[in-house]
Amino acid sequence: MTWTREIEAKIQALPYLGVGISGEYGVRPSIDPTELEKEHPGLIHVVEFGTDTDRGLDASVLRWVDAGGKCTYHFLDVNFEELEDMDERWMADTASFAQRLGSPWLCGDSGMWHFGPRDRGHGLLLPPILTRESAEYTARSIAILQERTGLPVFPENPPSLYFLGDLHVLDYFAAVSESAGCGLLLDAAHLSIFQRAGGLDPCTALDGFPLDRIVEMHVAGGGDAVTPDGYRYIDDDHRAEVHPDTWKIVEYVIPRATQLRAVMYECEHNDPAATLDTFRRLNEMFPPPRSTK
Amino acid sequence: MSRDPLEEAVFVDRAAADPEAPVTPFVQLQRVVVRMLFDPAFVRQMYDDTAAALSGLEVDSSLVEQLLRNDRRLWNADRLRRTRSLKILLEEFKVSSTLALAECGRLSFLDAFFGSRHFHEAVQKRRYMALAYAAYLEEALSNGTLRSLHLQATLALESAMARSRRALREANRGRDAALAPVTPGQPGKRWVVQPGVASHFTPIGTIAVVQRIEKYLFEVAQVPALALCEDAPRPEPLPALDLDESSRQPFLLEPQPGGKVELSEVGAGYARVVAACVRPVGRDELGRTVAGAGTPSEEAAEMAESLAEAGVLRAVDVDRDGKVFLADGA
Repeated sequence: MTWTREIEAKIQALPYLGVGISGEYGVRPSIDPTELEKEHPGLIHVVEFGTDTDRGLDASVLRWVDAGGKCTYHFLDVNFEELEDMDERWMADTASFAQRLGSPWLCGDSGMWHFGPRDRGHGLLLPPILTRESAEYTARSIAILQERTGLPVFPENPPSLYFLGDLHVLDYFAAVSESAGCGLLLDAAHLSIFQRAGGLDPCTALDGFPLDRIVEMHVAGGGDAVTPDGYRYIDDDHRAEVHPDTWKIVEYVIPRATQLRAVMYECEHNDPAATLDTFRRLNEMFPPPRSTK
Repeated sequence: MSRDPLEEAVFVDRAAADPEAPVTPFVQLQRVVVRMLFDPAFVRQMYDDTAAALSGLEVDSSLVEQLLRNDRRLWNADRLRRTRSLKILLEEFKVSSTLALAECGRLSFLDAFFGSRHFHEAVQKRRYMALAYAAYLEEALSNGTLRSLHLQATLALESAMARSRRALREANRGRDAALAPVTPGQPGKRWVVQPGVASHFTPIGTIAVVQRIEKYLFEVAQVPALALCEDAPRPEPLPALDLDESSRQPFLLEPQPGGKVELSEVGAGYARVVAACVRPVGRDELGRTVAGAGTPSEEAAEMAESLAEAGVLRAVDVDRDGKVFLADGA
């Protein structure tokens, strides 16, 4: 499978969802989307739910969906570089969760979500090795997943403190898209971390990136952190305040991403009041769909 | 049959249930990175003696050079990684881990698992960390680092349960070890366990030890700062174990979706039949196997039939090539 006009047409037919909020199976106290919508109507139009097949769905996302809310499914448990991970049971479970949520696509960070077989305690997130060979394996996994589930799959550039390989992360995912025939999820915060780690401008390499294949964007807060032994890094901790580098990327991409369907603000673990200004700003940049439900 | 390179890779990776099967160099490197994230000693070895650290692995040297150009402090940026993982292991091996700590008195002994060959091999060969942890404790018992007989008994039980729940997971992923092909040329009807079902013989008193430790852990969990107290309660005295080999208590282990393993006491003959049916076994072989352990061979088939009716065993057909198929209705 490679990128074709047929795939382009399928992407064009996907629903426009607008600005949304992320959610993850009860790891920490989270903003309940139903409550947020009730108290601040018109700020969120979709929820992106992240989970793994062991944990499944939770009550708050089902309440949102059962009330007619739009939802997308974010996987947290697949290593696209390892084809062995594409087992039938995982693909079937993932598809069934997405179906329950009414998700029009599957998405998630593309990297190493677990060591060993999928199991409790094996979870982590490492970036893919940024080489052509790795991109081919990742593309193959995505092509298999798209074929078996019947859903479009959008790989996301993951965060990391390091990257290995000779490709820029954007070139890696452009290659994956071309080879797998898939759209893309661009995480602006993760990209800003990558650019800063390499001493690059936040928008480096975006001019050669297929922006018209971006279907979803993530925007999240992060900030400077330092370890006890003095190592400094940007912590992708999803705090409410979005880093200026991330805003630069968002402002560059949104007007150019002609097939963009959803922008998720990953902020669910914050005080709702601290997130409102960013939601408003994102809604101005990426206006709501005509009907939110 | 010819395969393109990626199809071949799928084929190779599917075979990777065999931990010795080859994996791509970049995946090998990913696993090296995981080991670095967990083990500062391995990080030191990577920087100081890279060749020794990567011995036996096929990785791209330019990527390794790139890896080592990173600030080495980044590998330890997440200082709670080992603690979080240990917490999960302690939940699954709560009794044996508690008894290990009761004996050695050092959390660092359990934490050292992440620097052990058991952990490193599990990561590098895509194995289960929990089973590697069990092997780490078993080794400590076998080399005399730990000596507790209570630990020995409870570790054996918790390890059997850990294997049981993972056998079910693997079967759910299409890798049912019980249905793997058998030696060709011996077709016929056989019995084999349901995914993950197993039997386990344990010294009488083991369950009382488990209950004692569970009660102890519940009580000490009420005051997390107990670790600071010199007068913190101890789990001892522990219930006595009957170590007579001939009077072991037989249990049936049945894994459930979600990870629970149901434990039920069964007759010794039934437990032996279940043990014999871990792989497909026919009537004659079953009779011979259990007869050696004291169950009359003629009773074994009847027991197998009733275990199959109860859903503990499956009836399977084996063809001339040794392939195993579920029998109609199984």
